[in-house]
Amino acid sequence: MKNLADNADLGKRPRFIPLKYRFILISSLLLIVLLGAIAVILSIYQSATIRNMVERRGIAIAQSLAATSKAALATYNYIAIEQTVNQAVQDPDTLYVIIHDKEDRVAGYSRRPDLQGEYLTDAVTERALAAAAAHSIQRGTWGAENIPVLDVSVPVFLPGSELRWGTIRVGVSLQPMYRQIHQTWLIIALLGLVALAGGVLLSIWAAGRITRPLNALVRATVQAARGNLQQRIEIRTRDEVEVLADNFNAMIGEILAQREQLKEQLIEIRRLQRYTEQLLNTMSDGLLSVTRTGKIATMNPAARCMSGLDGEVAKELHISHLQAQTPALSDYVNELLQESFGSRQQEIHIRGVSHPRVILASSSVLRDADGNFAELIVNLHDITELKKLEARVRQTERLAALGTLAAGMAHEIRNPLSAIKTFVQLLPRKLERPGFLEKFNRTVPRELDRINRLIEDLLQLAREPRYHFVPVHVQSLLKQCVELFDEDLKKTEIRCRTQFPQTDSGVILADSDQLIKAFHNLVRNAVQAMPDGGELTIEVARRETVPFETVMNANQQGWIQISFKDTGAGISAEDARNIFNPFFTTKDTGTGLGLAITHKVITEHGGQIDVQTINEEGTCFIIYLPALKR
Amino acid sequence: MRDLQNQVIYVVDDDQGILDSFDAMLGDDYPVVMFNSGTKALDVLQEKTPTLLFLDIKMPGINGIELLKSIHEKGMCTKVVIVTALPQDSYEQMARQYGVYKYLKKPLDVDEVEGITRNVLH
Repeated sequence: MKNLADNADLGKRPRFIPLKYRFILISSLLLIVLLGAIAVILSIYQSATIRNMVERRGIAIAQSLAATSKAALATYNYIAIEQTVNQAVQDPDTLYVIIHDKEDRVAGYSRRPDLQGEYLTDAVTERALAAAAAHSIQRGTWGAENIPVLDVSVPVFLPGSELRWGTIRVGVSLQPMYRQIHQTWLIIALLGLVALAGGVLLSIWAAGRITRPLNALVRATVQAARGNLQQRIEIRTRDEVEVLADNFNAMIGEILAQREQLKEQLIEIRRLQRYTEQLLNTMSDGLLSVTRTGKIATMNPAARCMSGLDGEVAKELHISHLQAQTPALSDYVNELLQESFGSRQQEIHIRGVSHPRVILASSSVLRDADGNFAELIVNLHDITELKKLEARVRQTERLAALGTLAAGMAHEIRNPLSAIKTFVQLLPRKLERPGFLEKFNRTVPRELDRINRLIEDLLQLAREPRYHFVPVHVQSLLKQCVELFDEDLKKTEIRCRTQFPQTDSGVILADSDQLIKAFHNLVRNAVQAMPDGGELTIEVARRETVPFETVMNANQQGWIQISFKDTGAGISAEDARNIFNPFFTTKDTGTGLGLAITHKVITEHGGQIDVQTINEEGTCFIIYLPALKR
Repeated sequence: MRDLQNQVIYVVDDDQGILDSFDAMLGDDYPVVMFNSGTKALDVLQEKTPTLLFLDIKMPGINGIELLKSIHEKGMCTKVVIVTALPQDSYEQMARQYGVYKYLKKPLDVDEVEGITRNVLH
């Protein structure tokens, strides 16, 4: 930007000559050279022409004089010769006419009778007299004023003789020629000046015409460089400059559009920034981000409050500073940093301002554009109240469950109790009645047994598990079960079918006695669901995944699925939900604890039991047990 | 014959012990018919009208309250005595709505059952 601004100050740049002046200078110089060349060529041509004319005139005069003065020379008639020369200089441009006699004396010298009979010794005369050609031409000066003169000499021969009888010399003035040439020079100079002036003016105009739009462009670029983009250049020169201006406008437009876009983006970024800041400041969750080295990059007020750094400037602080106040948080972050890809949830307990708080800490990793670890972001959610609520709900649930259990128990005990009470009350009155004692003996012990069985079931349900786990082959265990059930099934119209895999279905860690009891409850349930007969299918299969959330043990390899399917009437969806609850029963026999016990045994084997049922189409209990690694 | 038929007592309960105890209490002196499910009793009640009906509430299929409601809606003159082991009082309110004669809680008292039977049948 600075460079641009400096460039804009064009006038102050060293050796800066504006384009306009360069143009004018060059065009003027060209004009001067051109005019000079024309003048030189013209003058050379003109002087050659005039000189040629002067020479021919001189030769013509000399030859005519030679013809007329032949006789006078032959006779040495000096008077006639003098008359002839004086007549010949009537023309003002003929400066002198000299006629030399056979002996080279001056026979006649125009307007100089005093020189008649003298010998002239100047260099021009000597050369003229020595010349043997038809004529000789020399340049010289004449008179006191040193007038430039062309000396033309012609020798005179008598007819039939080769003897030279004299020499005619005519001096023609070169002054008119020089004058003419000067005049020409003057005219050319004048014309040249006018042309130069016109040319300069023209070039000034032309330069102005060319450079004005360029200057406008320069000014615009200077303005643009200074940041003023709200301008458009209107240049209609129909040449490259117009294209340049249009391109400039387009460029400015593009820059403006981009600037607008940037401005909008900046506004949006600022808005998001404010929003984020506001969010960070007002959110009840604590949020802190930590660099790889453990420096705290950001920490919102809630996080500061939770970590006991309220009021302190937490930025640039190392995470170990939290050790004193919240060791659990410090440890959690340190562990995650060592793992370097932490995204783990953990409940941590902190001291809190007034009372201990439970914080659910979760983390995620912020990565830079190259996907490298940038910051660890830790979210701290205060779940103290939730935990309290959970505890309250659990307590309520416990009480409610206890209520249901108590009601169920009351029902299950009162029925046999009522029967026993009735028989005991009737005993004194009806002891003698025939058949009464028989009925008494049949009913009372049976009802007492019922109560006892109920208590045993209840105890089993409530008891801490005392299992003896050993690796058991599922298939052999189930075969053992089927043999046991066979006794029960023989009394009914129910057919039992087993579907075991071809290969060994696997080994589980189990207490065989407990599992057999659990399965027995299911078979009894199926038998009671099919009073008019039907089919019980027991199926075993291996499963890699299960339809519920679970964590596999280290020595576990998949699951074994065992299903008990009957063809009874089925149960409703609502009954299916309650089927494993103690004392829930839809049957007229049993305590309602059988399936609850089965559920408990399966769960304590690390498994799950589920019931699938469609009314009118039977019920299917599906058990998943963890399979041991082979 | 008609008179005799009218003197019949029905006992509807899914618990064999309760049916046995009613047999011991009333079987020697009155014609008592036992049903171990509400469904079976309802079938018979389509055609017959007992004088007295001892009815359990918690039974598979049709429960006692539903059966009581059905008798009440039909406008039968049968006196219905609910006998239940359920501890909840809400059932008693419901039974009263449907014109129950007596609401007895198990364990039953022999004298009370005999007294009710005498009152209704004589």
